[in-house]
Amino acid sequence: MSTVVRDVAHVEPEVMPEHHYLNDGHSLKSWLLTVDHKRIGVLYLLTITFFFFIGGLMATLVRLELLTPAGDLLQSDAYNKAFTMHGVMMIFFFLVPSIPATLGNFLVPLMIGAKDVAFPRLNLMTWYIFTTGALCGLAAMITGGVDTGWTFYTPFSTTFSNTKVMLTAIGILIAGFASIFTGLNFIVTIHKLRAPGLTWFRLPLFIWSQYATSLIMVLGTPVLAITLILVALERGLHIGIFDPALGGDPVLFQHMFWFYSHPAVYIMILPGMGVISEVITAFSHKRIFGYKAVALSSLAIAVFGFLVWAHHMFVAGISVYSALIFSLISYLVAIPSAIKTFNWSATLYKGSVRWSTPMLYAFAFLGLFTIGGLTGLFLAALGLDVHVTDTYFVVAHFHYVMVGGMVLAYLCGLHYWWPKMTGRLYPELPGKAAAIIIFVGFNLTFFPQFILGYMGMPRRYHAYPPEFQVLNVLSTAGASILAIGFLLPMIYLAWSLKYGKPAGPNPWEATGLEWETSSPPPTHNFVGTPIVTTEPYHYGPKEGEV
Amino acid sequence: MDPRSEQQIALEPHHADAPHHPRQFHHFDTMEQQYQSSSLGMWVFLIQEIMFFGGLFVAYLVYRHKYYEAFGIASATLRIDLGAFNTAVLIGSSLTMALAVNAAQRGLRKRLMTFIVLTMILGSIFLGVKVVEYTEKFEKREIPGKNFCFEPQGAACTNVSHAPESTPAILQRYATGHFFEASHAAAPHEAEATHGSGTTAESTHAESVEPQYRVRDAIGDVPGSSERDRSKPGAEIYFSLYFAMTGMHAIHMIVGMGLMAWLLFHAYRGRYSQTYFTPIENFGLYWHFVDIVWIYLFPLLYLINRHIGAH
Repeated sequence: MSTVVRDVAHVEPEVMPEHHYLNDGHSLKSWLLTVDHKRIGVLYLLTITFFFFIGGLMATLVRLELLTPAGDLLQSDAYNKAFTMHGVMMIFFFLVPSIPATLGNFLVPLMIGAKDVAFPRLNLMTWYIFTTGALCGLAAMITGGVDTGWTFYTPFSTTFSNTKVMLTAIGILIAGFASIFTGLNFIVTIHKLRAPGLTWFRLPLFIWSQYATSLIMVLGTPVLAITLILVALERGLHIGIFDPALGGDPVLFQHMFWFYSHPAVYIMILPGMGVISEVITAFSHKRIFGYKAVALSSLAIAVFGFLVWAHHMFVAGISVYSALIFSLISYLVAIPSAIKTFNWSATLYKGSVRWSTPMLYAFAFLGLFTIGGLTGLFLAALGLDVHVTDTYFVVAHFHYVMVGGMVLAYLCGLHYWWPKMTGRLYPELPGKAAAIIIFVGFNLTFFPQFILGYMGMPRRYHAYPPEFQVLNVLSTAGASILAIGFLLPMIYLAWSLKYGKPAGPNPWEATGLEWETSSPPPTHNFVGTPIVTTEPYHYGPKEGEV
Repeated sequence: MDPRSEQQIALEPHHADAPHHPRQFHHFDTMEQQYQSSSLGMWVFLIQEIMFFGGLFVAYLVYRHKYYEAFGIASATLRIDLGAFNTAVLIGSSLTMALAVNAAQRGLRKRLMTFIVLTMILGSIFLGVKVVEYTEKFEKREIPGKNFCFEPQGAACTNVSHAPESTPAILQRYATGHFFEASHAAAPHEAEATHGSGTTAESTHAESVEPQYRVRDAIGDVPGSSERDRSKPGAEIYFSLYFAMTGMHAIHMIVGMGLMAWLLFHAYRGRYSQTYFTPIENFGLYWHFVDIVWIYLFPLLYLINRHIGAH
């Protein structure tokens, strides 16, 4: 991508650079008061990994309870709290910040040839805001939990629930502002800090997806913020807004909640799509097929994403006509999503495909996201949706997109850029093993849930009729495999920090400005300002091959 | 004319020996780039603010449609004179703010400080009038919640068995965290504090709070009750939104006052010059935004009964 000529045929073993951002100060203060976007990315990585495991713990409780039809391990109250806290932790404190805050923070300035994000101090403050919010959520969980579901439907959440709704809502509100500021920072960075010659259509597709994500963060999250404030006012001061007993309209809450929370699922999936675009081209060693289509489809998803929220409310008493329109627009989202999927597949065609760990995750993403996306069309269909609303079909669909799509893309990106972040290679064999274990465990966990849902098993109940047990046992067994798959990368990635082979600037022979600088990058990212003269992904046929 | 143009020429990207403006951060190549980034950042923040208030405006729209008459009747209880006065004060403060930005761009330190102080004074007047208006609502018990009272002039409220509290007593009670009368059944947030048993509290709790709502609802359903009675649930929603919207606006004003104090301090220290005035300009944008929100709030909350009363 830049004019710097790269020596691809290295024979000498790589060595770690003498000065890089990781050894630029070792004290705790040098981390907690850093304004370096790369260090902030690492801080986020540690924070969200912690909350991922808290959320995972809650999921474990849910799956263990569902092993048997009777409510034996957890009573209904405890079960309600377990699935609520699973949702709250995973969505607000892991999935929403996952790729933008970790990989995005680390990579956006590197990929556009900037020294830092536009507002480095705001970036640090954002991490503190996020951590404060997430700790509020954790405090709510420890001091009693919350049982409304992650959706906080009124009037249950404002009037009847006796759990820590207020503290959880405040936590989400605070973390929401972190999301807004991250989005703001990225938008300004991408607009104003691009290296000379880096025009919009020379931007890596990861940047396009981050940009689209940032737009949703900035436009959607404030609506969630005001909604949660109104919930808090109604609950705390008995000011009537949503409670029908006070003249309010609970369906208005659902509209306002989903106005954020549907675009929020695109906050969660779009960055993943950006990662997949990078990894598929790098490991096919081939130009991406249809660059502009993939880039603009990210924006299309962001725009359509704001117009489909009421498909969550087909059974909530909205008018048939508005349901019809929302159903139609929901179908439209499939178009840009399919454009991406087809272009990724076309990129593979006649590429020099390497089966490295990131590529395994990318393949898994392609398959699982396709299933998740297509079952989304089932749910957008008015008639079928009435049948499967609030069943495990929805749970399975959501997890195919969020875990099969987003979490796998996150792991994919983490492995792909791990050499850049740490300067060391992860061990390939356990990497591949973990990817396969996760793929198998994931499908075993969630595929039976499609069938369960279609058979009519409702979600959010701790007990179920005995005829559903076989599929539930399969699902729980899959969840245990999945848990092992998630723990493995923790172990070998930590191991590689000390024992991994030094990676060198560009272990994957990939294009992109981030691979032009040393691994780990120096504190100011580049020596001199990179100047971009070519399109991205300029992989010649066999040209860059070792 | 443009004070930034000379900077643009003076600072070529990445010339190590190029003179850096003392206010330029290391990751920007030029002051121009830094200025444009800050400015874009502020505009993106304001777009975020529009969406934030947008949620409130949507709620307003929905409930005004649902309780059309009640909104008009409840709106009539507001003091249009005070609202109009405040509108004028706030537009005046936007003028002084614009003049402050102008002074900063021209590097006139004393003039800048004068206009910041004037803007702060006008902002304080606005908030002071708001306090007067809120106090009146407290005294009339037109505050949504357990003590909400919306009766014809002179009639006693029937939804609470005892005499209305005085304003200081209400404030005292709110200040100590007792938002509801001690004699009432446990409210959710109080129950939350004692939570822990984790049994089927949901249903039992529902029973304990229900009667309080029913009493108030029943008032609206009494046959032959006055127009004002029938509009009661809608009126309570109106006041909920009135306090939520003007409250959010006031919070933005208070934050703005704090920021102005900070800007004033730095202006006093001579931080801003013809080549660096971004914080003043960005704050100006924020202040104008807060002003514009009020320009929407004033007709929506104060003036809506004008034409309803006409037919």
